[in-house]
Amino acid sequence: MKKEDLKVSFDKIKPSESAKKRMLDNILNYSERKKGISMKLFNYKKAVPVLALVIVVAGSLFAYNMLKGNFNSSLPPENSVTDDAGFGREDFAAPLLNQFQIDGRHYIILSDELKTEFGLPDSVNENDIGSKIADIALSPDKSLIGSEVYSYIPAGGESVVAVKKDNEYRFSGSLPLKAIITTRMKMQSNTLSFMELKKRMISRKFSL
Amino acid sequence: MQSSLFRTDEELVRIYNRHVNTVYRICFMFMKNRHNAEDMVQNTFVRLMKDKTVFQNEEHEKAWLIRTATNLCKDYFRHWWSKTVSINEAAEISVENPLNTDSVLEKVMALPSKYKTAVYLYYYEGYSTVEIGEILKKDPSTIRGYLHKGRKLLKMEMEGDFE
Repeated sequence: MKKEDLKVSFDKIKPSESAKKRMLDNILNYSERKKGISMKLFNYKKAVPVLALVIVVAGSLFAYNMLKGNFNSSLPPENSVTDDAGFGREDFAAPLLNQFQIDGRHYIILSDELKTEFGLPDSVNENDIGSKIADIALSPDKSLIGSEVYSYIPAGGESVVAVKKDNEYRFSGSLPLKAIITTRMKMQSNTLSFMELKKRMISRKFSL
Repeated sequence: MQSSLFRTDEELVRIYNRHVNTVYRICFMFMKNRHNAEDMVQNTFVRLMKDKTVFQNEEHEKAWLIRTATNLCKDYFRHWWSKTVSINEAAEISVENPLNTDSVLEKVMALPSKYKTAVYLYYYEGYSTVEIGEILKKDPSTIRGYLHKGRKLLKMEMEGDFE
């Protein structure tokens, strides 16, 4: 056998033209089909790992919260402040107003509710104003500094005083509130005594 | 012209037209019938579509196709066919007459595939034993052994030593 014989024999191994065209068509059809499949599978193949990742992360967060004991589906944790108070950061802390200090005693300007509760009149009668106690020098409320403080005669002490601010007298009670309550009881007692006295006077007048 | 997976269809057609005969011969020598050879040729070019290799020249392209076709044909027999039919018995099983063969081609086709491929690449395609070794991922000395054995079986009157 010679090399040339071998070449001639190998030359005989070749596809017909129709076979070539058929194979090429099949290859190109496969290409088109594969592209379609790959496009369909693209999202699926991408979605599965992403979904798995989401599940893992969500599961981890859930497990973490469960272990920490923080998990609560809808209710906020106990003792927590919710809703608008969520904005209550340190720099949103309410400023201290209507408070001052005289001789180491703390006073607070009484609100209408406190005045009602402690039996004080809505406004201060100037006839009940006693001697001047001091000028306010120490207060977180800058508007109070320099205001004059007077004693309130019906209170019979310095637990309740009158603060003159903007030419208007305002009740102010000392802290702790126990002192205010004591004052209130004292005032009630005075009122009862006054009523008793008045009743006696009326009865004496009628008897005369 | 539309694009295939990693190559344009135009590029694929050009490569196909350049090398289809070579790939077909390689596949035919393994499969020993037209039908399976055509299937393997298609599989080889489908593999080319999926492959990202950037070919340096046409020879590189051809070598890649030969190696891929060889591997695909071997895999074909390795996977399931080999359980019932050995690679050298495939022609006997095939009902289709492969080609109008002469005595020379019949002798060549009767060779074991490894000798047959080496003989084809050396004598027909003109590759050196080193190049054949690179294509088939074999040592050149192994290729020389294949050629020596193949030539002996074919009783070829060839020059002595291989390059």
